[in-house]
Amino acid sequence: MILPLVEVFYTRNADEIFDSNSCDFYETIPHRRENFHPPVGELMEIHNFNNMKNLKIKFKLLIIFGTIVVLFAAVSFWGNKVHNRINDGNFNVISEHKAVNNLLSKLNIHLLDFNNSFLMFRQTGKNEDIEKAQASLKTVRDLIEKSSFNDDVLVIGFRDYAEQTAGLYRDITIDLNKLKKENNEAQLLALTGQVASNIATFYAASNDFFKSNTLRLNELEQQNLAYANAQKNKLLYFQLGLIVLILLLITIPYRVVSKSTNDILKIIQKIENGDLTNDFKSDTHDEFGLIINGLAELQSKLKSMLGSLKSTTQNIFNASSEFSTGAQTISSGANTQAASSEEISAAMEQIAEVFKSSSDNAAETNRIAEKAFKGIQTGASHVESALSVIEDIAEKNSIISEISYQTKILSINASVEAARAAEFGKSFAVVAEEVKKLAENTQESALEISSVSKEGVELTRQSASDLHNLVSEFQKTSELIDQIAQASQEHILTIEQINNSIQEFNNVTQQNASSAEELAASSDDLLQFVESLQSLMSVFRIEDADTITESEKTEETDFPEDFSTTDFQQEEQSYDFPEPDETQPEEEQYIDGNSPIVEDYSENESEPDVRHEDVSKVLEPVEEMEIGEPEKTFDDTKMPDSESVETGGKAAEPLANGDEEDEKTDWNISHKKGIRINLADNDDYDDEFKEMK
Amino acid sequence: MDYSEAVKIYSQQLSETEFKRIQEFMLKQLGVKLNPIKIVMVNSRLIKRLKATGIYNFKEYLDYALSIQGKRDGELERMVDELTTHKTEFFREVEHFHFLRDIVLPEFVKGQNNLFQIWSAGCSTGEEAYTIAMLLNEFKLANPGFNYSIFASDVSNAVVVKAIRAIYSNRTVEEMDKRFLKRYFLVSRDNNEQKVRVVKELRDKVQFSVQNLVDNYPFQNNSLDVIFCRNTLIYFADSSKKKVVQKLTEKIKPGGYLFVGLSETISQYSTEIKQVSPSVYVKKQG
Ligand SMILES: C[S@@+](CC[C@H](N)C(=O)[O-])C[C@H]1O[C@@H](n2cnc3c(N)ncnc32)[C@H](O)[C@@H]1O
Repeated sequence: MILPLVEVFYTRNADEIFDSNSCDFYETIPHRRENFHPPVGELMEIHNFNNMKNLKIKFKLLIIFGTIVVLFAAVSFWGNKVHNRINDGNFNVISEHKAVNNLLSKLNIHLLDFNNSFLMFRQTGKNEDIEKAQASLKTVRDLIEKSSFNDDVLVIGFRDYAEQTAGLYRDITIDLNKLKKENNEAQLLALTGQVASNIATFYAASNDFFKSNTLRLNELEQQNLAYANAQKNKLLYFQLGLIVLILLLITIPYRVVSKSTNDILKIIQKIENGDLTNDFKSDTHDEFGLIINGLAELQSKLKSMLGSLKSTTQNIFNASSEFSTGAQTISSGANTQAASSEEISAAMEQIAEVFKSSSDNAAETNRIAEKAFKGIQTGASHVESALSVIEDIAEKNSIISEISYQTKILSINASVEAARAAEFGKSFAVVAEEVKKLAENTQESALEISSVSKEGVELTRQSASDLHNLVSEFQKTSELIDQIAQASQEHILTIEQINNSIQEFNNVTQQNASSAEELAASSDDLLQFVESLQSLMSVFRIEDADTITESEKTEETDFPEDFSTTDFQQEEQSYDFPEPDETQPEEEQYIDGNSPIVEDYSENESEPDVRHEDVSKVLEPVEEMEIGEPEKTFDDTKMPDSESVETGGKAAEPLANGDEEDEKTDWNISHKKGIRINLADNDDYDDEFKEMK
Repeated sequence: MDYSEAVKIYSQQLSETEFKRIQEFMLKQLGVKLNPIKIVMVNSRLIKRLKATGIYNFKEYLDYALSIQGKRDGELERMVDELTTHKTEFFREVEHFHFLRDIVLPEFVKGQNNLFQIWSAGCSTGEEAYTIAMLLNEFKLANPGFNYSIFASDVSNAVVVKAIRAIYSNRTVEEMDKRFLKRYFLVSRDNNEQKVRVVKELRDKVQFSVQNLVDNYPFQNNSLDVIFCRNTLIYFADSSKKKVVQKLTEKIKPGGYLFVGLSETISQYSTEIKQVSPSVYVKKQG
């Protein structure tokens, strides 16, 4: 766990310092010289570091590892020394004693040779043997002389002894030669005895010496062992201590690294979560400090960038919401305008129609007037001729009057003649009387006719002149009517033109409305887009929450002045709603069969109940603006689903049929009896409203 | 909706054939006449429906809207709602309301009648009906014995629902007499809403229903005192106009009144009525 962290900061320098062979401990650290790029290096380049101060971690590591190396070197040097010393001690003592023993055994052998040769000489007396003995003695002497003994007391003692012995043997050798020449047997014998005892003594001494030397050797070995043991323990403690120390030293960079990485991770996590509100700064100047300060700078740059981005999106949002409401207003305005314009166009069409019909009427009137004028004119001429006829009649009447007078005279004469004729003339007298009466009547009538015809002539004359006047009046009227007819003919053209322009205008308005709607829709899209952008942005917190809301609070608007009705004097409240008249429950007056208005359904007597059902229905799907009961008018038996699927658009065809058929077409939108809509939640909406001030 | 979709929708053109289908439908079902020049209007009005349904083709849309499924889904309704013109205002053509207040009502109270029944036929979003309601309520305050019933109907379910909701934008009441406004309207608590609502008491005075004028009416003959059928028949074909006028006249009491829009003339359609004031007709006695 430690090592990877250490590894990160494990630099080339360290490698050079720590020779991998010099210490086993370091061999556990993996060496990755080839692809190792110190991460701080780049940062250092970016920030153009030029100061050792800025390399503190590296430095720290150098110191720490340097210390470790020095300590380790010291300990191993010391260990080495101890080892050497133990070795040396052992070797010196042992080799010396071994040399002594060696010498001793050699001396013993040569002394034994001397002894043997001497004994041989004693028996044989041959020169050859004495020479042999002398050579052995010489060897012994040489050995002793050549041996270099150190200052060991034992060894010194032995050397002295050996030297003495060597000296003795030299003397003996000299004496032997002399004695042999002199052939002094006694002397030789004595010498031989001396030699023998000497040899025995030497043996004993060398034996003693050997023994004590061996003892001493053991003792020395023991001593050395004890020393080595003591040093070994010490060394072990030191080494353990060193390991602990190294471990402790290693945790320093670990702690530094882990604390700093923790800090950095925390910062990065916050930034990652979009929280840019934390201010942080490092006063250490190591790489971590640099990273932290770099992050701080990054954050502040990000913050200012996000800040401006946020305010920009806020601006865009404001603008686009304004734009959207504007577009909405335009759209709803355009829609209203479109409806108005459509209404105007329809109204204009009505007016144009009325105008057209009145213009037609004017033309008709003109025609009639013309006809009437002609009629009057003929009437006038008829009156004229009637007048002459009447005058004619009057004239003829005077003739009648005259004739009747003469007839009367004649009849009188006849009656006189009849009286003369007495009985015969009696019947004639009757006839004459009758003729007289007739003549008198005729005369009376003629007189009457005359006076009447006189009146008639007067009247006719009068009416003839009236007619004459009338004709000229009528002529004027007719002329006026003609003018009107012509004018309205012209008007109708103008009005048609106006009507056409209005229709055209209406078209434009309708198109406008739909493009305004399009605009509104797309501005809504824009707004939504900006909103989602904003919500994305809101992940980043760049300032404290309460400072944001401050700016939004200012937008509150008051109810438009118009409705504050300050100009309106409050009247007494009781005025408002009169209690509904209990005797006339209004709910029931409509549609309900018991109401004062009972529906007249003479044509479809069988159906009225459906109507009551409709009333009782509470039609819920109001928001979807659906007609409450589509199934009601839908005749399943007539138009099964399957058929509609097949025919598709053909459903529209029943149009061609008469009214009767119409009622059965499934797509008929009609509700023959009217449907009351009951919106259960209607009053709930009142909660959103309040009384006006 | 993305840009290419928008382009696709808004570049759709209503063909003559499809327009004829609509013409036929409107004439047969509503009595409404659509002159050939209205193709542009129909086009731009139906585009909204194309957009809403996601059927970006007029033929397919009509196949759907005029099918059983289209009717079931309420699309037919919505199409009709789009194709009809719902323009209306509070106190629109105010002369008529003056006539009602100054002549019709005083005349009514002189007679021995006790329930004044009035019908706003083609009521659109209800402004006309509520205007009448305000006037009648005012009149009742001055004439305590007076009682009234107001009925209002339209062929479009959507506008009837709006009428029942009685929620209007502030703009619609801008020019209204402040006394009426204060007495009969509530304002939205949320200032941003800019809405007003007719008070419940007045709302309850008007009974709304969905009613096609070419169908039978749920009234007895000779039972209504007044019918307002203004600016509705202007969209009708001559023949349907005549039928409707006659049917409306049937329902009016002798001496009762029929109000039509100021641009309308209907004397030619019925011998039973007589014009007494511009666009106001009285049903002849007997
Ligand atoms: C322009 S608005 C008139 C509103 C109100 N009467 C006014 O004058 O202010 C016409 C209304 O008539 C409705 N309409 C169209 N055809 C109809 C029909 N066949 N039956 C009933 N209402 C119809 C429309 O839905 C529309 O709401």
